[in-house]
Amino acid sequence: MSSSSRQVPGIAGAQREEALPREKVKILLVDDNPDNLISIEAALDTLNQEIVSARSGTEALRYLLENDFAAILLDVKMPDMDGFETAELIRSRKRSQHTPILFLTAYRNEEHLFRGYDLGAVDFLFKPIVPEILRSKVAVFVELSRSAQRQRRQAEILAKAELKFRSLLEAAPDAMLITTAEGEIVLANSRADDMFGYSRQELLGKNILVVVPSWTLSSYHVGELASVCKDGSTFPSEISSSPLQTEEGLLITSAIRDISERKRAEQRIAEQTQQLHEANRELRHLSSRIVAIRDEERRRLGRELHDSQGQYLAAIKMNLEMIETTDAALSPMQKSALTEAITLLERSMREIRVISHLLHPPLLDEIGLQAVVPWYLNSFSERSGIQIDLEMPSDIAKLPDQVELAVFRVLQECLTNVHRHSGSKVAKVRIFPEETSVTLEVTDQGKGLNSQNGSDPVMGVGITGMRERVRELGGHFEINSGGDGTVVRAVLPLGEQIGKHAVNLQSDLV
Amino acid sequence: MRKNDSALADKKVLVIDDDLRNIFALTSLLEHHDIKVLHAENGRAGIELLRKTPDVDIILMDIMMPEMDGYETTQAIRKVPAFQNLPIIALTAKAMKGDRDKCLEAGASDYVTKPVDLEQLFAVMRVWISRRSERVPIRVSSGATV
Repeated sequence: MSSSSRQVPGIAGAQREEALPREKVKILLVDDNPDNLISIEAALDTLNQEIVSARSGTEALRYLLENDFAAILLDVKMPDMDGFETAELIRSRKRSQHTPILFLTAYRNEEHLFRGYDLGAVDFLFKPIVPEILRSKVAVFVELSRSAQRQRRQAEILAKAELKFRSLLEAAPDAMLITTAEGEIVLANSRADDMFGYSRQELLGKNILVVVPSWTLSSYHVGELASVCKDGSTFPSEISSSPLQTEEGLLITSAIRDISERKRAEQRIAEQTQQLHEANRELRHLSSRIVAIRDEERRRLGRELHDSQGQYLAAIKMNLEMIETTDAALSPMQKSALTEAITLLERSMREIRVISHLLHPPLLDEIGLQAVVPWYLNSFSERSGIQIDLEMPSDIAKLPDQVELAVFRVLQECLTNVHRHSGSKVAKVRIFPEETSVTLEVTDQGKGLNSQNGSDPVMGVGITGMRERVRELGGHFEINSGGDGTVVRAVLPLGEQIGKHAVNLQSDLV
Repeated sequence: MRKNDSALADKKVLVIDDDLRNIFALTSLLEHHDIKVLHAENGRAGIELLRKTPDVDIILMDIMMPEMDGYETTQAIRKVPAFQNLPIIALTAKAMKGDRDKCLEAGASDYVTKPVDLEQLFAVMRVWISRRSERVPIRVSSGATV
């Protein structure tokens, strides 16, 4: 009972109590004299155990066939089958081999005692029986039987726990190795045999370092380490170790999982991600080139229209005016036709100039936003009937060409959208330069983007184009749209910030 | 003799004998080989026990019993259709030829003479238990095999 004072608290303690009810034990009493039986029963009454009385050796054997006893009090001198003969039979059976036999006898001679002890007697009680002595002797065997019973039950509980543990170990999807603190394998499951290619017997006693070379005692965690099979092949594995303090010292349980498959999948995903990144980069490069080529094309067209066609038209006009002012004999019809031709020519020249300027305003390169923006907004208002409110420092400095071009193109795209899609009759344009950036903000009071988005894919392309152009210069682009209007904001970096993300496109252009 | 004889381990044996000493001694020996032992001290009790536990694999039958002897008990058991093929080994004190025939006539499968030679007893038990598990019909008139 001393061990119960330092019982494990909690469930373990509760189980132990539950497993040991205070059951009565059985004591077998064998005597051919009924008076003796009665007096012995009375003497043992206070022990409060179950007393089974037999009047002969045969009757005793009958009880013994079906029952286990804590002790047998066996009268030696009985007719037919005496105590010694009965004891011999009792001892021959495995089930009663160790049941304590106390002989009751009146003889104290040595030969008699030797025979008794030889037949497995644990003690003799001499008649007349002294009740106190009888009681105290039997009490010892009752206690012995109880403690044996307790041990049996504990052994059963342990065996069950062990069985559970083993089946858990076997059912685990991972290889399980239990090692000493020095790494010596003391227990392995069949998954471990399969994983490492060793037999169970080969694994036991080996050091865990044989299969997991970089295993360390300090690694009480989940980690990825390489494992080695018996045939020398290696595989990546995930190892989770946990310490267990036992009576035999520190034990370490390690669960080892083969993660080759996971590693391969991770590798595949990494490769595919890399491919996606590359494809994306190529796409962006392509779209930058398209923007740049289109800009260049517009510039070339604009210049062509302005410089070449414009010059031709100007020359034609000069010639016509010369004809008109000389006193040539023109019929009134001819004169009227000439005047009309000059008027048409002037209109054509004006339109070509507007078109060429919209394609690429020469003012942009020469003076910058300061001149181009007011000019563009005026002509836009004239053509669209939309009233534009401009907020821009009138002394805005010349910004780098590519920034000004971007601001101008985004502004153009925004206003085209306002005109074509928003239904707004007014728009507000704000351009404000700061130390390291310039911001363009175009606000309308139209019906917003969300309601139109799906209906016009062209506008989607336009927005993508703006976004791409801004991104190309390392800037920031955002659209906030609702039912009461849309705000487009583009922030473009200046100075060293420009084109940090840009691809050098000049080499692509002729 | 092998321990944990696989042919006999966990088999159920009914010992019918009027002498409890014989029952106890046989029980000790049979249990030592992981055989489960039931017992009855007379023929009537034996038949009663057999009705309650029909999964008995083999009967060891003492012939010399008062009141209802082994012949009578064997005949009574054979009358029950379910027990017609149940191996019954007669244990007889006399090694006389007439006695042996009488056992087989009464319906015993085989016989072993007393005092029992353990090796012989186990050999006979093994034969009859394995015959039964092979579902070979037992010919009542067949003689001793050992």
